[in-house]
Amino acid sequence: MSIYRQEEREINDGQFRAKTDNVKNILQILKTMNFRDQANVVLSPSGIKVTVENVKCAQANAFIETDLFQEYEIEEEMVIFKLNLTSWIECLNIFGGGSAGAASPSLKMVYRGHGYPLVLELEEDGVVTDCEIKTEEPEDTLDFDFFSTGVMNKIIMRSECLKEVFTDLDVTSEMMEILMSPDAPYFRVSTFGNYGTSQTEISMESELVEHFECKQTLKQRYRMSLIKPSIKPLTAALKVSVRMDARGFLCLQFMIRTESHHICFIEYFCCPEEEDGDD
Amino acid sequence: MKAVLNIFKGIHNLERTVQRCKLTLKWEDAKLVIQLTCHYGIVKTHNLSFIECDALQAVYDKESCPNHMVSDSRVLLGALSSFHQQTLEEISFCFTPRNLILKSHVEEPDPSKVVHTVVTLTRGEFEDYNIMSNCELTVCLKEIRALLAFTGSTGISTKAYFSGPGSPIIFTYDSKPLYEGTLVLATLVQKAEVGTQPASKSSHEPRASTSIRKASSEVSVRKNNLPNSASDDGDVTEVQDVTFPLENSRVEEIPHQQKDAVRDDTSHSEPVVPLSRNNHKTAQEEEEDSDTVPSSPPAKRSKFFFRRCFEATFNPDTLPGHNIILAEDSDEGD
Repeated sequence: MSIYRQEEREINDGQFRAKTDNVKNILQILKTMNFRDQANVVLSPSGIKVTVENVKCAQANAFIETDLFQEYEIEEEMVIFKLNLTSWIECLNIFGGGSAGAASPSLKMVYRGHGYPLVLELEEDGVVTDCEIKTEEPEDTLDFDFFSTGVMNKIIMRSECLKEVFTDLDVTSEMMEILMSPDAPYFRVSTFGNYGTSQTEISMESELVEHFECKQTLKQRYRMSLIKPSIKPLTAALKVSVRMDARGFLCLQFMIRTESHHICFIEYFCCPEEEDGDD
Repeated sequence: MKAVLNIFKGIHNLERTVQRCKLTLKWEDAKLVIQLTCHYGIVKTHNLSFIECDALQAVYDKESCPNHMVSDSRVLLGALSSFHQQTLEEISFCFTPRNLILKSHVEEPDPSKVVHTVVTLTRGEFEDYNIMSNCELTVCLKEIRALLAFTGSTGISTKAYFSGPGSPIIFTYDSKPLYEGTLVLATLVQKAEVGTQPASKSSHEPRASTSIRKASSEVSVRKNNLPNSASDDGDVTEVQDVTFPLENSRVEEIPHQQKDAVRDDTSHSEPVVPLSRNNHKTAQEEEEDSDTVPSSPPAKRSKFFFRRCFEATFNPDTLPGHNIILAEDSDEGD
């Protein structure tokens, strides 16, 4: 008993402490990001930001805000570290999916500071598990500088239509082309597969389009392998916002409602494919 | 085909979301354009390239076929569902004036290794049944199942026209004015008889068991030709008067008076390859079996029970009492 109390004291002396009653919320979000093993984690007073990068050409960010937690304390202005996302997800999932009626495990996370592991404590029905995940020096993440050029086409639509488009994509196609234009066809996704080309057009008059703002016609190709990781958060999302800037960079923002009806956002940036193959 | 299938996959989804489908053929670009107009203002356009090819012209004439049959596709489909889908490639349709017997057709020298299925449909099951002479046709299962899956789902009948093994069997269906189709399948040519098949055994011996079986001539043939074959057969043939073995299945019980029909059938049909393994034995065979000494169990069984002996680390010298000999080796050549 005395040992336990001592550990508890240690745990409470951290730079960061957070507690939530339902680990499934966070688990759901992190799972959609798990296309790479490593993730950068930024802890700040407004919440947790998890960043996963894909060969320096694409980046996914998940924002887990403080209202998801019952307790959230942080001493520093910002704490950044890198850890193994797959391990984190496995630890959070340690009690398994659980049946629908079962009580979901509660989660407590503590981070004592630079060099210390991220300590997780999960509890379900009196069973307690604690895990420590090693943290590493954070990696530099790309800054897509999305707002600088000023020109941007933006469409907000319900996720159903984009889900259909993305899940039906021709797998033999290496590239995916997205066109956003103030004139017809307004929004078009094209693939170029072995058997021929396929296109899906979504008109701005469609009921599923909630917001349409295109200033100029922008058409850009993206590598399918870079877009594929965005399908997971898309399937979990309610709404998605598609933005393209003048350089052709794509930003997909997914609005996800968690199990306990909190709203979380996941952002996905993608570099366009250069036409002439130059770097 | 794959490209088109990909476009139309998820048929239930398509039913809900697609409002219109427009097919356009663009000769100059060599493209087939399929345009699906869906709900919510979504339009999907697929441009598929096509190439010219020589069409296969099958030579057949359904009017010249002496035999034909019309059936509700669901009846045939139900009968086919008894056949194991993944592994079975060919199926035999054995037509007699009284009934149609569907048998699984497997080219496997050892029938005990595969599951054989036999399904019988009496002529009453068919809308029209016009068989001039018995014939047994073996066709590819996948194709006929695909045809029946389609016609069965739409509820139309399937007609079959055929003459005999080696000649094509022609399946047709039509639901004018919407569509009609013809499937011409090649049938397996009957191979010559296998080994020494004593004609007497096939039909005239009194049946030992009361249940109906297919001809057992193949069983005896195999025993003569392959004395070293897996004695699973040996085990089985010694069992007498067995009711249905697990492998054989039936759609319905056949009353006794049809025994003759089946027997006639067997005398006509020659085994292409040993078809169904079964426990049927004639009285003559049973007598023979009681004289034979059961041979050693099949390798598989002995390997299971004496597993340890086959392991590389097994050293008989480590067993206690290994040096006590209870029975000397018998003389060689015995």
